[in-house]
Parts: sequence; structure tokens; C-alpha cells
Amino acid sequence: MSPLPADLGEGAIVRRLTMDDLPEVWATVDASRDRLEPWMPWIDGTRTIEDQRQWLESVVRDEVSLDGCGIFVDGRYAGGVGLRWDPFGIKGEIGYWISAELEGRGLVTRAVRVLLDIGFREIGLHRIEIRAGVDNVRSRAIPERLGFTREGVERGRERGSNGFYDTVAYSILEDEWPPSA
Amino acid sequence: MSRPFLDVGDNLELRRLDPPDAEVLQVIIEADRDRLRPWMFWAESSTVDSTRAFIEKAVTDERLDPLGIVVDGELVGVVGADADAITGNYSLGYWIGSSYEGRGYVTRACSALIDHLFSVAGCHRVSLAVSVENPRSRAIAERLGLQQEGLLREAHLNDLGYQDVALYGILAQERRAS
Repeated sequence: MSPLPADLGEGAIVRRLTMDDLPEVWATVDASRDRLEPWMPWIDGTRTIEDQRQWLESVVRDEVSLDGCGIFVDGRYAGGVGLRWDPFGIKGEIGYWISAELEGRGLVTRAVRVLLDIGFREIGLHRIEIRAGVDNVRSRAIPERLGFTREGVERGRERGSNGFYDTVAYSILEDEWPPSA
Repeated sequence: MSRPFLDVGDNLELRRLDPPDAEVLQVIIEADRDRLRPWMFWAESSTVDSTRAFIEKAVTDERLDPLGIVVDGELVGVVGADADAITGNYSLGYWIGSSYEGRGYVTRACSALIDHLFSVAGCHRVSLAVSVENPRSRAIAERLGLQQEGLLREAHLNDLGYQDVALYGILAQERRAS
């Protein structure tokens, strides 16, 4: 995947993770636990650095997805982004999170743009989805800002520390990216 | 050889598949290949060996995908409920041989399976995704009382081109209320 690492400006990049990132990824995830718990289904199963290692090994080894990418600011891990797709190369899905202190700078939006470029141009996907909690306003702002279309609300699809929650399904099609305006 | 899983009643049951079932299933798949191909990604290239390999890989004591639909002791189709590892929510899928279509077997089989998922497996949500170009399949979702929650644009591709996919869901509390 030639476009990675990609420059996000202001000292930030997005790149694939490697096993060398384990200590920093774990430290950042563990410090962000309160913030991730309501929304991220995986955080409950990420209780030790060993859990984190298993996840990292699986995504580093995975050559048919970009599920394990990280946003780095001045060389420090700031959050995760990922793109995975179905075996037929038709549909992709993007997910993301960012640490509290780096939120609000547009880093996730820019990293998602990079993954959209890769998904449509390099991988040739037809459709890319983002799902966000109905009440997760900041997360929903990203697909809305990028010109995604809202397609429905899946009731009780995900589970966080406050129980099951509804998710909004968004998508963008290959002929809609990049937005012309 | 037959391992009953759910007795739906009135000579309809669900049972776990065994590798030798591939031969019976393949007879149906070959007779119905043109009918299955637009909706089932595996139908075009399916062989006895690929079907047997699928059964060997997919069937475990824990998984509920695939299960055989058995009418009067005869295997006539497949239904499955695939669990999300993190949330424990399930998504449904199904197909049945054309000579058994239109008699409500899939609807009854899915209804019994949904009851099992909510009452025994204790799951929160069951979903089903169907191309809008497949009205018979959509009718099953609607008869089962699933609510349409969204329309995923151009999410399925077959010889007819890209099609929108209707997404249906039902929650445990709705099933209890009905």
C-alpha cells in the first residue's frame, strides 16, 4: 500500500503499526480507557499488554486489511484508525479513535481521508462504511463532514460499558469521493 | 448421523450438518445453481468437495451456522445464525431448494431459531441483510417481524449489477412483547 505512511500536516502522520509500537499503543489505550469504554466494543477485552500484543500481532500480520494503522503526532502514538474490506473487494469499513489531548485538531478526519483515497483508488472498493453511536456526536461528525450519506440506524448493534447502543450507518460510494465541492 | 438441534414441529426440524450431508446439499445446489447464484457468493463454483469442506470447517458444537432444514426427515436447505464475537449479536442467513420454496419452511425455521437465540443463547439483537432485488427473501424478514432499519446503497453485486441492501433487525424485548 504505497500511500502509507501519509503526511497529515502539523507533524502528524498515519502509518501501519509494527510490533515495535506495542508499548506506546498499550500505554495510550490504557490511559484512554474511560474515554473508550462507552463506545469501543474491544476495550473490555483489552485488559493487559498481552491482550494488546495479541491484537497487534493479528493486525501486523494481516496483509488483506489496513485494520492496524496509527496516527502519530511528533512521533508519538495518538490514536488508531483502520480500514478493512470484504473478500470480494466491494465493501470497506473504517473505524477510529483519538486520545483526548489530541482531539479537535482534525487529525482523525485527515487520516480517514487518506484511508478513503487508499480504499477507492488502490484497493478499488465500491463502497466504504462508517458506523458511529447515535449519541457519539464527535464520532458522527467525521462521516458527516466528509460527505457520507446516512443510511439507517442499527438498534443495539454495539456494546460498550453502558450496555448496548444504537449505531448510525453511513456510507460513501466510489463515485462520490472525493466530494466535488 | 442426524443430530437434532431444534424440533420446529409439524415434521420440520433443524439439525447440525455432518460432512456426508454435502452430497445431498450439492444435488440441490446443482439443480438450483442459477437461482442461488445471484444471492449466494459460493453458489457459482460450489462442488461436493467445497460444500464438504465448508461443513467440516464451520460446524462446531457452539456455532449455529450452518444448520440443516429438515422436512419429513429430508435435508432441503440451510439456515444459519452467525454470532458477533464481541457483542453476541447474531445475523441470519438461509436458502432452500426450489421444490420446497413457498411453503413457509424458512420462515418457521428462522422463527424457531430466533426464539432460541433470544431465550437460550440470551442475545440482544438479531439482524438480516437482504438485497432489494430479492423480494422472496425480504418477505421472510417481514413475516418474521423484523423491522427495516436502513437501506445500504449498492452493497451487493451480482450479474444484475450493484443493488441496495435492506437491513433488518429485531431486539429481544420486541420478541418477548409479540
